[in-house]
Amino acid sequence: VSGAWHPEEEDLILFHYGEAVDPRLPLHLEECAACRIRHRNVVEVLALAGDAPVPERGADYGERVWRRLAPRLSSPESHLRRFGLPLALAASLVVAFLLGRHFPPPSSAPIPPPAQQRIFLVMVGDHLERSEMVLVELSHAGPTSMEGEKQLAHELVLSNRLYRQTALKEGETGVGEVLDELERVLVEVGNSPEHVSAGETKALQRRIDGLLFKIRVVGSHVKQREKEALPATVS
Amino acid sequence: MVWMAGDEGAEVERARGGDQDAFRGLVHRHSPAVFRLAYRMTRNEQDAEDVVQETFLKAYRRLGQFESRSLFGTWVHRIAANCAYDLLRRRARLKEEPEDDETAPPLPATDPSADRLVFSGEVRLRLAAALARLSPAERSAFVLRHHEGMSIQEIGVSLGLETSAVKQSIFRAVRKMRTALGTLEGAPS
Repeated sequence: VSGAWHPEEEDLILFHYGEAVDPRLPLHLEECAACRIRHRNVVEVLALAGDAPVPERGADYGERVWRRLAPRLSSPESHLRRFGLPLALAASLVVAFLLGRHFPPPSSAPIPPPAQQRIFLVMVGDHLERSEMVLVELSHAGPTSMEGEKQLAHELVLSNRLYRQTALKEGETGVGEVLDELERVLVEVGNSPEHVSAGETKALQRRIDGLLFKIRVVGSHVKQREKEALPATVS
Repeated sequence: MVWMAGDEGAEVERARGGDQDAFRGLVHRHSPAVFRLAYRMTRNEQDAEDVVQETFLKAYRRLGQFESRSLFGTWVHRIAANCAYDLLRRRARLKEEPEDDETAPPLPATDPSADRLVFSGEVRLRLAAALARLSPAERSAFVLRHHEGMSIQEIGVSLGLETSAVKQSIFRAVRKMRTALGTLEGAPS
């Protein structure tokens, strides 16, 4: 064995990964049985650590990523144009939905309650998905890169207000409460000054991270109910 | 539509010129690997999906900064590593956990014999628990070195850390995993 020198565990880890180490190490491992065992133990731990499974995504994963990503790739201006029409359309549908429900035109057949519920669920589900996308982007944004999202947040406030009012009117308290919290964040983002400090950005991002979790839970619940409501509507 | 790995450099050039279909091809090709990296770092599917989105969004916006000499895959993985590391740090701050936990107590280990452990599911459970408790820097540095094969220097560039900090993070990660497993002395080879 080469003198009294023995490698530290750190040296053995670096050696395993092919990083630069003390040039005496390879020869020492040949000569020192105790260090060979220590080295083998490090290798075994690392091999086991590399064995942790990763969930499968499926062959269509790339396309699923693309579909979610594509609407966000445009410039903020064209992004708004893309988003603007669906948002305005959705908002007017909500108004029509509310008017149709509470003041049905005498000549037309009333929309059956299951269909009304499904319309509401579809629209709220889409709204939550859009809001989630904007919030995810905001939660990753730096203080100087929020301009596009600020405009989108401003656009989302109107439709959010209508969905929140509808939800509370229909007894959808859980949805209403999340929309209420979402609205406060959207208003805050939409009205934020041109220059936001790093501290303010972090504080906002903390709130967004907490809200995102709630939106995902409620959004997933809404989508599930939307699916369950489908057969009744079709039949 | 099936995307074939062809002349990726030309595809990147087209994407830089505003051809979204070309960028779509790059997303198709690289998103599974980016997801794997993101999942290993975040240990959470939804967080990993967010990291994938954020990665390609940033890549698209920064295509002008991409140097044609590099591989697009390497470049996009660096962005992903940075996005995931940022997310981990934000989560750690939210939970008010130390970002770089040098003084964390050793994980509880009952030190059953290695022979019994190695071939049981307990090994996987203990490792998963240990990985979940690593600090953002420890987990990020370990995943990038172990799974992505990045050099210590590259990891430092990706995460914005000094080389010595990267090394220490990896050492602590391995030490914590060893503690979680108990001694493997005498384990069958």
